[in-house]
Amino acid sequence: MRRDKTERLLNLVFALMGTQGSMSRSEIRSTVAGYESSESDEAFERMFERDKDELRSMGIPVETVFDAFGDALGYVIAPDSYAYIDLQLTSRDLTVLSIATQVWDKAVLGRSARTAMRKIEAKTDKSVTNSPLIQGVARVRAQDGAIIPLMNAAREKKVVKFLYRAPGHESEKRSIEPWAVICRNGNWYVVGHDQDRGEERTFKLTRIQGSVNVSAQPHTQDPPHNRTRTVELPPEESLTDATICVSAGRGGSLMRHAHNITSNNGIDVIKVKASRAELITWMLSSANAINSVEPQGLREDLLASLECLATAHELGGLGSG
Amino acid sequence: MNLGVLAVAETVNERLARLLALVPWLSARQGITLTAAARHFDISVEQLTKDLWQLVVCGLPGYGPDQLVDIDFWDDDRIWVQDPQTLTTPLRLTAEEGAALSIALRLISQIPGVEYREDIDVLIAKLDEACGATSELVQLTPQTNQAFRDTINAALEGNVQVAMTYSSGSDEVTERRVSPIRVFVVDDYMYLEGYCERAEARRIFRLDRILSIEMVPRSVAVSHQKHDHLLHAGGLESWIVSNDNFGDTPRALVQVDPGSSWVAEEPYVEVISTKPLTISVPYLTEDWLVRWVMSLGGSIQLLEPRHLIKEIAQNARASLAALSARD
Repeated sequence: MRRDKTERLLNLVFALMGTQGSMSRSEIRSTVAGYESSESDEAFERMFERDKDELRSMGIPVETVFDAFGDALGYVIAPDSYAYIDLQLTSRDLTVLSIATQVWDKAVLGRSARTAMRKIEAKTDKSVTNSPLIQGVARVRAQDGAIIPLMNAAREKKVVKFLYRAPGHESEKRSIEPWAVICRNGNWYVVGHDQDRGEERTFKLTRIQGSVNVSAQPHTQDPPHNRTRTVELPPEESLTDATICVSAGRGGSLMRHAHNITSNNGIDVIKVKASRAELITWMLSSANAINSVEPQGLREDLLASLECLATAHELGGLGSG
Repeated sequence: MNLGVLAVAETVNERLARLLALVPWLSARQGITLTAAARHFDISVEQLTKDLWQLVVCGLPGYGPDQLVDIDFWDDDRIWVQDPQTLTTPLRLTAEEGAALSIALRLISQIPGVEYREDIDVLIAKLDEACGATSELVQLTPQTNQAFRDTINAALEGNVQVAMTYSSGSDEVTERRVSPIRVFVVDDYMYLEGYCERAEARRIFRLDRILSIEMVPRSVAVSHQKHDHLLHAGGLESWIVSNDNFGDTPRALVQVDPGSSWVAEEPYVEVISTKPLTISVPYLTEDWLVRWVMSLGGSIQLLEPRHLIKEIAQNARASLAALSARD
């Protein structure tokens, strides 16, 4: 039978778990099925190094045993560090966990959630009841492959490097000490210390080009107090205090962000603080219901946007595209 | 979007992870059928049989009869683990696996009306401790008013209606009386599903669009009680798909100013050309399209459908005239 890689790795796991003490490289080469075919010492070394890294990347604790002089004696997978820690779960816990697994579905962490669930179920003879005991459901759709390395780098406090293209700029290589990955309005961001800028920055994951490289370098800066607990995306521009009068029944976007609303004779007086760009967008969503705008500068911006909108589409309507 | 990571076929890594989990799982369920085990691991019976054949030729060095994994799976479709060798226990959960579960649990626990909240909190703590994971490293927190959530929670528990002022997607503000059925979350958006008396039908409301909400001491009609509307997972699934899948919907052609190139970053947008930046955008209704183009205030220009171009220009002119006249 063909000895494929899965079989070789599986045999290596059995051998390293079953050994007394540790197994040296030469023992592994001569006794573990799958390595006998290596043609040279060099070929074996390469194969074994790769296999060892592969097992470690799966979370299998392949430990190196050293002698008194600091030389590697051999390798072992100690049952104490391999074995699943019993979480003492009830049937209800299992039901809740199976619903948690569905949250990721086909999104980025779906595979991890499913392999976790298999390990958990392997340890118990209890089965998951399928009754919909939790009436609310949740789904995360995140497909961005950058989420996983960024999350792991944040946990392990490692520096990451990636190519980033900010709007209106050329792509640039960035080195970041990531603190947290954040979802806001369905978009994903990473917040951390930007090593080149020397301060905190936020990056939108869709603007990362190519893959995220996790380096071996540790973080140099601690996040500001409680930063990983309550991460807020910093506003991209300064905020304007505005008072906008809208015909009743309109201006929903403005009202959602308002800090004060008073109604008077079919007019709602909305007090709202936000960036100019946001205020303009919200006003344009109910453009024909706006009665007055303060401050004056904001009103002029709104008029300019409407003028621009009209001009662009009057030309378009004539066929110049 | 980086889809490449997810689309690949099964790797050695994944197969090995399954084989390692398979043996202890089968040991805890001696005599289970091939069909049931395959269904659980979401693989074909054929693949499971291959996996089992793979396992029984592996074991400890020496590879004699007493050193190999011994599993019977040839009698009446049932699987019996005779000797698992060293695979008596599943592999410890990795930090990533623990985080995947605890992030999801954290999200579920925020949903109004969810049962077993205390159990969920205990589970999160157990997972974070066992896996060394810190689920706070991923922030998935619906941006909704806690008081609104509490009100909905209380209404769901008491089976009573809510009265709310709601700002719809079309920017209109309406008063509605709703019999809540349940709350669900998609990414960081939270939604209330309920029977709306104004619409005389079931409707879905986004919680961050609610302007105010209060309970009204009127019971939910029996026919709208949550028990009758417990959607199986497929219910939410089809709703998300219908919102995500723009396959058959018409698409508009839009030219984007360089300064507003972020518009093209939305996942549903397709870039047609980069200079000038021209994108194709799916739209469900013409009203929505006109509103969307207008809300971006001239930084984008509609090219198709052509009959709406004039409407946008007229709307903008009318608003300009009205606003100028009011001062």
